[in-house]
Amino acid sequence: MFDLDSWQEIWVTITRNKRRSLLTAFGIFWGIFMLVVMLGAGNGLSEGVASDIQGFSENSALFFTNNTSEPYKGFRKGRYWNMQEEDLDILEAQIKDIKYTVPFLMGQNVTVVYRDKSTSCNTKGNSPLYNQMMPQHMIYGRYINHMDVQDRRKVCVVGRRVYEELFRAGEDPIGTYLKLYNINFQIIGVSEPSVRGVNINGRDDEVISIPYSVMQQIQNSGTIIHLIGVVANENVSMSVLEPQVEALLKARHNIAPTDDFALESINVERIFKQFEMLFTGISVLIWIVGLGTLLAGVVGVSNIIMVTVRERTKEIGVRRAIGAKPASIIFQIIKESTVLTVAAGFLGLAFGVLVLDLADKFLLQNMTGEVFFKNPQINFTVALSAAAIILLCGVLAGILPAYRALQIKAIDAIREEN
Amino acid sequence: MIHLTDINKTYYNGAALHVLKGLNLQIDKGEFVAIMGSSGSGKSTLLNIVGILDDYDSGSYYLNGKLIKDLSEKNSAVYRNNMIGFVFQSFNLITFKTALENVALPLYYQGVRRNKRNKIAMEYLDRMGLTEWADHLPSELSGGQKQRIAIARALVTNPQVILADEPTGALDSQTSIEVMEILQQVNREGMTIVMVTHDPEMAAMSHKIIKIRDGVIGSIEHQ
Repeated sequence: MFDLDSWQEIWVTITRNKRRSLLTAFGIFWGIFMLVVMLGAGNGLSEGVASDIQGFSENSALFFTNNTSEPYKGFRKGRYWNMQEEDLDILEAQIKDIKYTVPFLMGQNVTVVYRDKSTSCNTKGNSPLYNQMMPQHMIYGRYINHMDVQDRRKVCVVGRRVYEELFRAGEDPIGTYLKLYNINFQIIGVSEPSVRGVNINGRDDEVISIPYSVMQQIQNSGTIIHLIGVVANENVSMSVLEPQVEALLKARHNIAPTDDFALESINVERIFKQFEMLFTGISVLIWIVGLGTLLAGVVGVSNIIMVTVRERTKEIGVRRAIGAKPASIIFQIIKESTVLTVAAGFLGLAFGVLVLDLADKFLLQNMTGEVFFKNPQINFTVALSAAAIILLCGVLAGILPAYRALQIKAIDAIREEN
Repeated sequence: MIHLTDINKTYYNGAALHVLKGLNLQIDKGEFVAIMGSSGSGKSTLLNIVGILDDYDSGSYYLNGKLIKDLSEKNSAVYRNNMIGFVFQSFNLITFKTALENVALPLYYQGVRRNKRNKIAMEYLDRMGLTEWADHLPSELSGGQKQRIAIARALVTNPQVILADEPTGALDSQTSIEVMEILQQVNREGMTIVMVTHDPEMAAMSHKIIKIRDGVIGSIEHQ
């Protein structure tokens, strides 16, 4: 196939009509360019969201209570009920596929006083396991540990923003005391959530966390738990465990098994899957739109090669008269369209990647705070398939004109003379 | 060499047009034949059939002992390439190729390697006295030079027969005579030439004038 003459001829045909070739090639260029940029943007969006929720224990669910909506076992409808601390142990004991359970208590919005400064923020009663389900980035100190919970220590972990309001920048707060609920709490850590996309009852950098046992004491609520987080073992889907957990909790608290209102749950796994499906959908849409644009480009190239073939009727006729076989005519035309398409396509690919790279370097790097866009790039497989598509497009675009060229008989070149 | 027996050809463009009506013709090796006839007499159709550019309905055509009938596009391309050299009225050189590349083109379709075919093409250009024009494009050459390149292209595959279709039709009388002299020279070297022409003066420079009338041979004049 590699023959200097045929490439030279392709070069000549393409350059003979520069403007037309350029406009035609632009169709392919634009198609590939758009495809690459859109795929990159789609990738950026999904990676951005993924990085926001990455680190959160994905195979988990949260359970919390409401008033009952059905009478059951002699209890009236509308009864208010709470989960209890012992529910945690029973769940872990009876459902083997539970990795661990996380107790959680909601506190009030309180005024926090440090020396002469004060601010108001939300409070949470947390356990060490919370730090596993929803990992915290510790700026200072440590997170709440088992001893804190067990001994009901008056300690607190302060969210980064709360810390910034009360302390000077760079000041180490560990060991100092904050006053909230009229009790002095010793600061053991300053944290900020490493997962930004998921929040349970307020952002962790805007709250003060204390051991949940202390929160129970403050609220004088015995051993109740407001919210239970359940994390499943890796090999078991949370969707399988969710009904088991619900059934067990309902049975223990005399809730009708059919009462969907009394015990609510948020299945994180399902939400994550919905996200995944959303992004799959976006990517399918991008491919459809991109390939559609590309198809328009292919039709353009095909059209222009068709015109060239018509213009070259006489030349093709002469070639056939002096011995060009049909196959060599077909190859010539298809090579021509392939060269035009590939040149334009790869330029589009390169330009698309360049634009994505520039966007990444200059736009996103300078953004601070909430960025839901990350790494707007296409991966190597996508680039390779784009290259394959370009090649295929070139051949496709050449087929119809090649067929037309085949219709030109040698005799046509001579007919006009007599 | 060329052996046509009872050739019939009818065109169907709306109404049927019976162009060749049982034509018989024999041309021997080394002959220089001029075919004349008024327009519509069938001389072009005859040339197309002899040149394997067109098929015929009935009869038989043997070229150098081979029956030429119902060939595939591919085979007729191969036969044209190996056995026939064409010279056209309007030269039909490829405009974006140099003189040398034009001459070498039939060898390209034979699959001859670039260096070898350029060497052969150069020899033929040399025979036409166009060595110094080898790298020029057709647009930079005169009509006579173009036709000499076309003749070189026709000869380069060393075919059985040269078919010249009004080879002097686009040339002035002085150049026409020069081109005819080249064809005569080629013929003296043993090449069979069949030429279609209107011009009695050019026809007179051949060995044999065949006049076609109403789809059959009207008369044959030996010079």
